[in-house]
Amino acid sequence: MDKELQDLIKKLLTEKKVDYAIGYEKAYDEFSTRPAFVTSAEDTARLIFNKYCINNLGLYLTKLKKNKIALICKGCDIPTVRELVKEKQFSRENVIVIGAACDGVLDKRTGKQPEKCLNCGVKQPKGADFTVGTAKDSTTARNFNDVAEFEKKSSKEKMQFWDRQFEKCIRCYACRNVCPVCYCPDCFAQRSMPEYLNKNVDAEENKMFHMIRMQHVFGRCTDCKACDTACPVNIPLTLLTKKLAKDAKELFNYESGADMDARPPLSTYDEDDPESGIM
Amino acid sequence: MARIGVFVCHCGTNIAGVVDVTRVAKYAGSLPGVKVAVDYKFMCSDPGQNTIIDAIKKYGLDRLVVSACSPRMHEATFRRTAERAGINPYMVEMANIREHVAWVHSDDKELATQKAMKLMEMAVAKVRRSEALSKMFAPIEKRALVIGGGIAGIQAALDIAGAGYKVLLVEKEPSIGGRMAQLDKTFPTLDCSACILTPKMVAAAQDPNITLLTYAEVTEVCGFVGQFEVKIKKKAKSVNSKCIGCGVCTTKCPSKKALSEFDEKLAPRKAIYTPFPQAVPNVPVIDRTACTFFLTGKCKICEKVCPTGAIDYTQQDEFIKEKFGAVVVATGFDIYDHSNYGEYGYGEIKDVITGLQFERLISSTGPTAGHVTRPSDHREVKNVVFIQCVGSRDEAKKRPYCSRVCCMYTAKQAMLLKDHYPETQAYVFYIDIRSAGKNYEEFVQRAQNEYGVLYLRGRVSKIYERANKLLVKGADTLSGAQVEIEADLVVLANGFEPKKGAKEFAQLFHMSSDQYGFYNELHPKLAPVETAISGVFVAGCCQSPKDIPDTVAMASATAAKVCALFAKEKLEVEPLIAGVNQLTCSGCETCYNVCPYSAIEMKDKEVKRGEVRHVAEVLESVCKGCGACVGACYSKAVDLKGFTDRQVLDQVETATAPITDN
Repeated sequence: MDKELQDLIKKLLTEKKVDYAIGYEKAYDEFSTRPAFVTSAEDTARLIFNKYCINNLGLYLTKLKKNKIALICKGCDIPTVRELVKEKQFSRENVIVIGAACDGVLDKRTGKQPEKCLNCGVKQPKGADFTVGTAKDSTTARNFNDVAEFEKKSSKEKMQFWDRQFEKCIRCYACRNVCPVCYCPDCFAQRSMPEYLNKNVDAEENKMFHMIRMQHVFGRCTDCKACDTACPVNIPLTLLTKKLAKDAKELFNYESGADMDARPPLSTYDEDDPESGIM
Repeated sequence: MARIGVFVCHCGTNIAGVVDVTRVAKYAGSLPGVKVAVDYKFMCSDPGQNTIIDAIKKYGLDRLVVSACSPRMHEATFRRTAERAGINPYMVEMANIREHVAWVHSDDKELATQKAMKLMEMAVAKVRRSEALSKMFAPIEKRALVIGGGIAGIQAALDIAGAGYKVLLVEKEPSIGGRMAQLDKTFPTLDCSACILTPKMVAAAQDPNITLLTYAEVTEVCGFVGQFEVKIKKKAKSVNSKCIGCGVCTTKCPSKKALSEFDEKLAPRKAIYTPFPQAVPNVPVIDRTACTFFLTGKCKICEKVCPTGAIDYTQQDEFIKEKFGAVVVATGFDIYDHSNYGEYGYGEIKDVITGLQFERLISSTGPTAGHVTRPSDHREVKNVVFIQCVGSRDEAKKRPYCSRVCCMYTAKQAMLLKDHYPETQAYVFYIDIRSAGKNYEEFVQRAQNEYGVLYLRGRVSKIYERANKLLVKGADTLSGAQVEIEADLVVLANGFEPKKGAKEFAQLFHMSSDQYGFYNELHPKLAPVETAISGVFVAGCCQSPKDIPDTVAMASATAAKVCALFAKEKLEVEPLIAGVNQLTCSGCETCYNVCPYSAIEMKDKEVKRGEVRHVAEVLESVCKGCGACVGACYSKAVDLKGFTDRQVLDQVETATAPITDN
C-alpha cells in the first residue's frame, strides 16, 4: 500500500499537478508517525500509511491556502476537507484528496483502537479524488449510544464529571491547535482587549474555555477526534464533540462536512427550529 | 482619563417617587472617572439641559451619563445637548431608571434604588469605553412606491405627486378604486361614493408624476430607507396596450361561471372583464381560471371581436425590479366572514347578507341596478333586520376590537332603504351606538327620528328560515322582552379584518403586525403613520379599521412624511453599525450568511503588506446595526460601534460586582 501511495504522489508531483503532498512518515519509533510535507518526487519514499497514522492532516490546509496540495486522508478526515471548503478556507480545485483505506488506527497511549474506529462507516473512504488500498468490510453504522448513555446521568453528576475533567486542563490549547476548524487568526481565548477569558489556569475558566470552543465548533466540528488525541491530560473531549454531532443531527438534521449545499444550523433561521434550549 | 458627568433625573415624581435619586447621584460621584454628579427635577427641560451644558464647561467633561427614562424617549435630546456643548454626541449613555426601575419596582424602594445605582454604574462603565463617532450620509432615491390603489393609496399618490415627486402606484386588482368604489353612498352626508371617488381615480391616472401598475403585486423587497429595491410581479392581463376599452370583448364573452368580486359574489362576471364600468385603467383582463380558451383550448371569441387586436393569450407574468426611496403601504382590509356565526346561519342562508353586499344591492351600478331584492328569490323586501357587531367586539370570535364604521354604515343603509322604499321597515340590533365624528351622532339620530328606524338594544340568538321568511329571534334588553321579527332580509354589519395574506406581506418589509394582523404603527399616538421600518409608512385600514375621512387624512399624512424625507439632500444614517477588523477576520463567511440586510461583502483584500486574504467588509449604508454578525463571528473580528465587546463586557463585569455604597 505504501508503494501504491508513493507512486501516486510521485506522479502528481512530477506532473506538477501539486506543489505539496501532505502525508505521514515514520517518527522516532515504530509506533509513531508524524506529518510529512513532500515537495519533490525523490522525497516520496518517506511516505507511509499504517495503523499509527492517527493525525487529521486536514489541519494543514488552512495553513497552506495558496498552494496546490495532495492530501492523504483517512475516510474520517474527508468531511474536514469538505467543511473547510464550505467555509471558504481554500478552494476545492487546490486540493487533491487521496483517500487511504484504513482498518482503524491505534492510539499508542492505550494500544487500543479509539472509539471512533469501533463504529466507523468510512473505512473505505468516500468522496476522495484517488483511493489507495482496500479496507476490510466496514458496514458498521455510526451510533451515539455512549453519548446517550452519558446523557442519562443527572445534571449534578454530569457537572461533577466535567468539573473533575476540566480541573486537569493545563490550558496548553493543544486541542484548539490541532482542530482543523479552529483556524481563527486570533483566538478569543488569548485576546486581551477585551479579555473574554481570564488567562489563569483555573477550573472555572478552563470550563468556560472548553464550553465556548464547543459552541464555536458546533455544526462545524466533523468529530475527527484530533482534540481528544492531542490532549496531554486525557480529557475525554470526544464525548463533547460527539454530543455536538448528535445534537446537530437530532435537532437540525445536519451533519458537518456531509452535504456541500446544506447551511450550518447556527447561521440559518427557520420557524420550525427546535427551541429545546430556550426556557 | 475619562471625565464623566452623571446627571440623575427625577422625572417629577415618576422616578424620584420610588428611587432615592440623591443617593444615586452621591454614589455616582464616588465612581472613578466621574467628575460631577447631580440630580435635577426634569433633565430634559431647558434648565435641565443647561445644567448639563454648564457642567460640561465647568468641569471639562468629555462624556455623559444621563440616568433618566428610556433612550427611545430622550437619547436624541441628550445627544443634541452634548453636541451643543461641544462633545461628540455618541459619548452619551442613558441609564433607564424610569421604565426599568421606578415604574416596575415601586413596591420596594430600597431595592429599586440599588438597581438604579447599578444601572447608572453600568452606563458609566460603558461610556468610559465609548468612542467618538460621526454621522454618515446615504443617498435618497426620490421616488415613492404606493402599494394598494384604494382611496388611501390614491390620496397618498396624488399628494406625493403634487409635491413634484414620482410615484408608482401598485394595485393587485385590475382597477384602482378599492373598497370605496364598491360603496353606494357615504355617511354622514349621503353623497354618492363613486361621484367623489372617480375624479380622484382619473386624476391619479392622468397625473404625469404617477405611474399606475394594476394587476400587479409586490413579491420581494430588499434595501432600506432611501434605497428600497422592490420586485413587482406584473400578472399577465392577456390584453396588451392596444386596448381602447371599448368593452366588446366583455359583452361577447360566453363564460359566465366566475362570480364578480366587485359585486361581492352576488352576480356572475365574464372571464374577460373590467371590475366595474368606471374602472381605471379601463382595460379588461382575462381571468385564466375561468376563460374557456385557457380551460379547454377552444373559444377565442374575444380575439375575434377585438377591433384593435389587443388580445394576447401568450402573455406571461412579468417581473420588474425598481428602486424607491420610500414606501406607503395601503393594502386595505377584508370583510369579516360570518360563516362561523352559527346563530346567523353559518353563512349558508342566502338572504343573510353582509353589509358590503347590501351596498352592491342598493347601488345603481350593482347587479340589481339598485333594486333591493332577496338574493334567494329576487322578491322585493318589506322588513329588513340589521345586526351590528358581527366579527367586532366579540371575544369569542377572537375579534374583540370595534371596527369603528359599522354603526355608521348600518344607519346609512337603513336610511337608504327607507329612501328607496318608504313602505319598508328597518330594525337594528345593536350593543351600543358608536358615532364619534363630525355630524355622526346627528346622523344616527336622524335615522331613528326622521326615518323611523327601530333600534333594539340586544343581540340576535337565532335566525330561522320559515315559509319564505326569516325569523329573527333576539332580545331587547331595554324593555327586557324577547323579540321575534319576521324579516325578508337580514343585513349583517360585518366588521373589518386584515387582508388575507397580510402577515406574509408584512414579512416582505419586516414590518410587525398586531395579534389580528393589522400593521403596527411606530407609536400609537406620536408616530401613527410610521412603522418600525424607516421609510415604510402605513395608511388606511391595513393599520386598523377606520372610516373614509380618517383614511384620507392618514394617507395625506404619509404623503407629508414621504415628502419630508425626499426634501432632504441626503439621508442621515446612525453610525451605530458593525465594523470588521480584517486582520483577525478568517473569511469563513459566517457573518455574510447570517446578515439579514445583505450588508456584508466578501472581498479579497491586502490586509497586511503582501498578504491578500478573503475577508468580510461591512457596507456602511446598508448595515442596520442589528449585531447578528457580531454574535456569529468566532474570531471576534466584528464589533458593533457604540456597543463594542469591550463596552458590553465592562458592563457585565460591573453588573456582577457588589455595590460599594457607604
